[in-house]
Amino acid sequence: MIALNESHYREQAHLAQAKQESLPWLMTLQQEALEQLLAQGLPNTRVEDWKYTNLKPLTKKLFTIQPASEQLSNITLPANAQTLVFNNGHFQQSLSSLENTKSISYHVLSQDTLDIKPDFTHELDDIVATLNTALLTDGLILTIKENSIIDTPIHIYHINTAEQGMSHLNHHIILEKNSEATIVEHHLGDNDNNYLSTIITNVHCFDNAKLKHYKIQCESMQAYHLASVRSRLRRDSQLQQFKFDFGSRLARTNNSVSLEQTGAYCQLSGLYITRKQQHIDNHTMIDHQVANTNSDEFYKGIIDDRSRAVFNGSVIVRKDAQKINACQSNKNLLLSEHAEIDTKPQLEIYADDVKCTHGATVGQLDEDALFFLSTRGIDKETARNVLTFGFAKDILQSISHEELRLNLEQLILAQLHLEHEQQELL
Amino acid sequence: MLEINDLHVSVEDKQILNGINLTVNPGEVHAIMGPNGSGKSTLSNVLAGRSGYDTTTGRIQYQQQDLFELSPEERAHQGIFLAFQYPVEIPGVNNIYLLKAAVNAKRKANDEQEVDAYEFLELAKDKIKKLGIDKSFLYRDVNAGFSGGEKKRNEILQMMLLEPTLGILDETDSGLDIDALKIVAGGVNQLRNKDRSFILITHYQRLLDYIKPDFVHVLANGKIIKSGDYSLALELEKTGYGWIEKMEKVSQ
Ligand SMILES: Nc1ncnc2c1ncn2[C@@H]1O[C@H](COP(=O)(O)OP(=O)(O)OP(=O)(O)O)[C@@H](O)[C@H]1O
Ligand SMILES: [Mg+2]
Repeated sequence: MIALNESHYREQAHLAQAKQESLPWLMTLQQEALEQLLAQGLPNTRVEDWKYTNLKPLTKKLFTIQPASEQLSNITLPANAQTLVFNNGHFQQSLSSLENTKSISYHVLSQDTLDIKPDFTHELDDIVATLNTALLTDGLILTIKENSIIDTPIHIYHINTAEQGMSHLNHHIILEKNSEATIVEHHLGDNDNNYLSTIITNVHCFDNAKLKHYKIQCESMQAYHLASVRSRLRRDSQLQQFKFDFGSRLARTNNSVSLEQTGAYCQLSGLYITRKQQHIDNHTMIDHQVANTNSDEFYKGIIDDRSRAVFNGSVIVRKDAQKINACQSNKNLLLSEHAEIDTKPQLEIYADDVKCTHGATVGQLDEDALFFLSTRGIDKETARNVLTFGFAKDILQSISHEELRLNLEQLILAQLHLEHEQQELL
Repeated sequence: MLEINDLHVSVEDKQILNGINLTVNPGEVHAIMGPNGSGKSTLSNVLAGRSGYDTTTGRIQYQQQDLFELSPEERAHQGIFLAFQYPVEIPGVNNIYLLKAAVNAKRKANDEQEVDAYEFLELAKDKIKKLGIDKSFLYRDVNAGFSGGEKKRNEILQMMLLEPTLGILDETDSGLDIDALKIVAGGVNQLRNKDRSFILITHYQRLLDYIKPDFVHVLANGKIIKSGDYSLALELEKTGYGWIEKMEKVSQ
């Protein structure tokens, strides 16, 4: 294990707990999490689940909980959008435009008036959650009410502006029966600040609910980002998840989906683009707990310079969970000989009437295509960028919301350093 | 315009071209025929600038310059165009934008005004009509899911738009139906003028019925072993390559 500086973390946890004074049950849980965290430390790379991701660098700096900053430089929030804003891990009412209505209700932990108790029963199950709970700074409980169809996306912004700061958030997103919504989580950071951001998102889709869940990770290039996303799907509910990793020095996401009742379906799409010394690790787990549940998973990665990406996709089909379709694919494009990808599908199938396909590929840019473009007068750098974008592009195709799709396209183009005239090729 | 002298080329220590000599003057059309594996595509790839070939001896002059000094994109800017024997598919890259980027890259390199999207569309529409290509082609990914013949027509569309000084067509006629062959030949004939030259690589004399070459060369074992005019193509059609190869051995 990797030991943590005990006195520092006790002091920080104390600060965090003080914020939750009106929620004694939470303070108790946080204390428990702290003791567990200090006793266990962080997992080292000898732990199978963390084989490729070394958390040691996180202990080299003493991150501290920081107040929200007075103004948010560099970041323009969209006008006319439904937003919820967290800065340095604290909810910012004044910057948030989402309102409580008949269809949508939200609460944050730091509000004194919280009268509902979110489900925190699994918050000590894994190390990211334990760390997050011990140092929790705030959290959101967002409910889409029964039969409500919300057409406009709800944007949740997480903005980190403090050098050497840390933020720890725990969200609960609940879609009641027959409801539909699009929720976009943004993770942003200032410049090259070094900070630690952990976030847990618990998603509950009740019967026949439909959620489009976007998670766009654009933290600073020096940030540490640890996330857990846990989605639970009830009868006939559908989750479409889009996960983008562009920022962070080191990012790890534990992304699990439980298909708990018949007819539940999830589609997970992901794209990671890594450069320089970045390390991006996605662990996904899709658990087909009952019969007649389906899943599609499609992750792509573009790995450049000396960066490294990890994809571990596990699919579990429980005993007696018959009539299952599960598709998984992970395609990677290595752009540099120093870049590295570790990809591993992991299937555990205990039923027999199951259609399960999986495939992982690692490739380079097509030399023939590069030559072809150069014979058409297109310079080498543009040719490379254009082919790279061509590789990434299909991830956008299943995004039906046009504005979101265009914004994401711009983000990807910017990641690939495609100048305006090069973009015209696409 | 193009002068190839004693060109020897090898790939991974395998000698493929064994002393090619060929001079192409402005306005001329040269047909190159020859058995499979004789080095025709290798020659066209070397002319277009593909890497991975070792030129052990010999030189190529193009418009009074050493061709090997120029990158593939510079060659394109200076008017060399290769229609590929096997056009590549490029998923994710839109055909019309490739075409426009190619045209503008060339214009920019030659200090000419670039065309905007509207002007380009007008230009492209005119050409695709002439080539009997459906407009939907423009908006599909480059060659992705195109039939063999459609890919070849797409190469010719690129050539029509780029208006090369030296067009090299590597078996563009293979896989085309009769009507498509006439259309493609029509495209080449339209471009033909006193300053523009072509090298047509083909296995079939049929293409040469539509595009009358000034010279016909036979390439075998990496060497041009016989040159003549259109009548040589007719003779080859009847008799194959055997007799020339035999004569070549005797003369050695
Ligand atoms: N990259 C390579 N590595 C090894 N051998 C090669 C390579 N490229 C070409 N060759 C060999 O060189 C020879 C000539 O190939 P080339 O493609 O030029 O023939 P060709 O005349 O165009 O034939 P075809 O009529 O079938 O198109 C062949 O024997 C081929 O296998
Ligand atoms: Mg060939």
